[in-house]
Amino acid sequence: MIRAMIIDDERLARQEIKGQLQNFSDIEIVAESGVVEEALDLIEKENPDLLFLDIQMPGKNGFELLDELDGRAPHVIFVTAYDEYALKAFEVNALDYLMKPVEEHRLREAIDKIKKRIAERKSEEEPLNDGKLDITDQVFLKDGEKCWFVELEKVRLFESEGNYIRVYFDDQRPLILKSLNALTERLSDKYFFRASRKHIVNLRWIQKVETWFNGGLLVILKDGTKVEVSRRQSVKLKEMMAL
Amino acid sequence: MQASRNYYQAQIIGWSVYTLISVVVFILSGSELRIDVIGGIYLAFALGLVISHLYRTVLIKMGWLSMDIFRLAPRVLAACVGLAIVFHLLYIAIGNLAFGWDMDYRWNDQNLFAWGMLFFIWNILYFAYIFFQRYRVEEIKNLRLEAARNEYELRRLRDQMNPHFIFNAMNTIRALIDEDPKKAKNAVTQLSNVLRSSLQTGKQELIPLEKELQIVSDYLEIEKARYEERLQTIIDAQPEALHVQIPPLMLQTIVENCIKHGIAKLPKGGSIQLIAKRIDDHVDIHVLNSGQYDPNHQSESSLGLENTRNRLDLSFGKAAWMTIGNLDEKTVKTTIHIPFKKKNDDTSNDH
Repeated sequence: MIRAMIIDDERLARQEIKGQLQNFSDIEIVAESGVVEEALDLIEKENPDLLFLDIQMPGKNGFELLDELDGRAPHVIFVTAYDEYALKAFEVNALDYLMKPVEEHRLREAIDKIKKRIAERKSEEEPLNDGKLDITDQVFLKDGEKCWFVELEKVRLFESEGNYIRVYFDDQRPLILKSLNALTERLSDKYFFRASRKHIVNLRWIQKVETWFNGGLLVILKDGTKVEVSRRQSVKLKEMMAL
Repeated sequence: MQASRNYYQAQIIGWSVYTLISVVVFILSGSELRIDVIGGIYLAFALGLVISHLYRTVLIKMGWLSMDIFRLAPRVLAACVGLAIVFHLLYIAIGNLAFGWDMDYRWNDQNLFAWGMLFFIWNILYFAYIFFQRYRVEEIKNLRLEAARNEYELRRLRDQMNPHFIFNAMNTIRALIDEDPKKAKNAVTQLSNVLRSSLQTGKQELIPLEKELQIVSDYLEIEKARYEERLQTIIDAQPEALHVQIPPLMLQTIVENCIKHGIAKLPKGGSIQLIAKRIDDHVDIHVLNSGQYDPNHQSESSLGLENTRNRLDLSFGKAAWMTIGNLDEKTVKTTIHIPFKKKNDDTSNDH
């Protein structure tokens, strides 16, 4: 069963998608909302797997709503009256979206895609039960007008830059407003390691570890990036790596 | 410049041809080519060139280039007589001095007429070229104007077929079909009316306010079905104001912006109020909507405002105008001032 939530400022638009979803026996609508602030609370409370999200809403738009989510982003299918061309203005990558009025077979395609993704994730890893972000979880990143959904396994490095964090994945490196300390709290230490005051590295991306000055270590990632590990954290890393 | 290069080339070639013809005629007539005869031919060539060039300078200064043919014709005829006399006098004076012709200054009718004809032909050729050029420039201007008009028409069509509005309306109607079939039927009719009007009225320059208000009210009904309790509307038009002629879909565009930049951005929604009043020889149309107008942050809609002002200017000149601003912290007020008389009703053919 997929637990879904509908967010659209127009009651009739919510009504419409709800009606269409009745044909899907494996989708359960756990909440709906027409107001962004209320929707944020409901997401927190219900922790849905999937959002049907309108883009243009009063106050905050759909992307801004996702940006406010702390941590794990649910799967999202955008439902919008925008055409493809208008959506390009938002520069969202890998985006599932449906255009209003929604065609039944398109809706089915989008849902099948999501189901597949959920199934893959479940078979891959034992889920963590500490409430922290798993390596297969996706996060939503927003840098100005650009937005990304990124699976954490793709992120090799977080680097702090003042009040911001630069996130390295694929060939992208957006800046997000967050502190590295807060992020450390959210990430599972099974997969992510705080190398220094400035860096968090993805353990799966480490290719080589070399000794560095004063008993410190130098981590070399698969893409060639070198990250210095502070002396205190080096001890910890050695412990973790030791058999 | 190309034009002046053409002129000098034509001058040299023209007078050379004339000289050549003179020589040929002279030889064919069987006369002997004496040195003073050749001198005379050269002299005519030089004088023709200099006098016609000076004449051109003067006629340009006197603004003959922009005259129409009826004002130009008598001036050119008089000029031909004058030029012939000047040519004649100089020809004899210089000929006598240089070649010892010992000719009489008295009018030789035959010669004078020949010189006159010569300058007449010069004028014909010169002004034919000028008129041809003028025609070409005019034609290019017309083509440009037409292209601009077509582009405007195209953009207008695209803007009116606001896809965002249409697809949201369709989506609303889809939901209404289950919930309230009667309302859904109404909405289909209203949407049809709006679409039909956008297609038809766009071709006209002006339509009565009454007709425009019908489109606006259909449009607002659809948006009300969509926004439900978040949109309230009031249309309050005096019967005396309904006959005023306005550019089609002008109010519709304004109301659309009220929704796009006002209502759609307010979580609790708001209202749109339309008031039309006749005052003496004009009508004031006020549109009040919830929201705030920020003149510094209106890229796309400021283009729309510019467009509306241009359309008013085209049809009414300075007699019509539009203003937009904040009435208070919650309300934007747009006012259109429009006269009953069109721009060309009282002024005669003043392009």
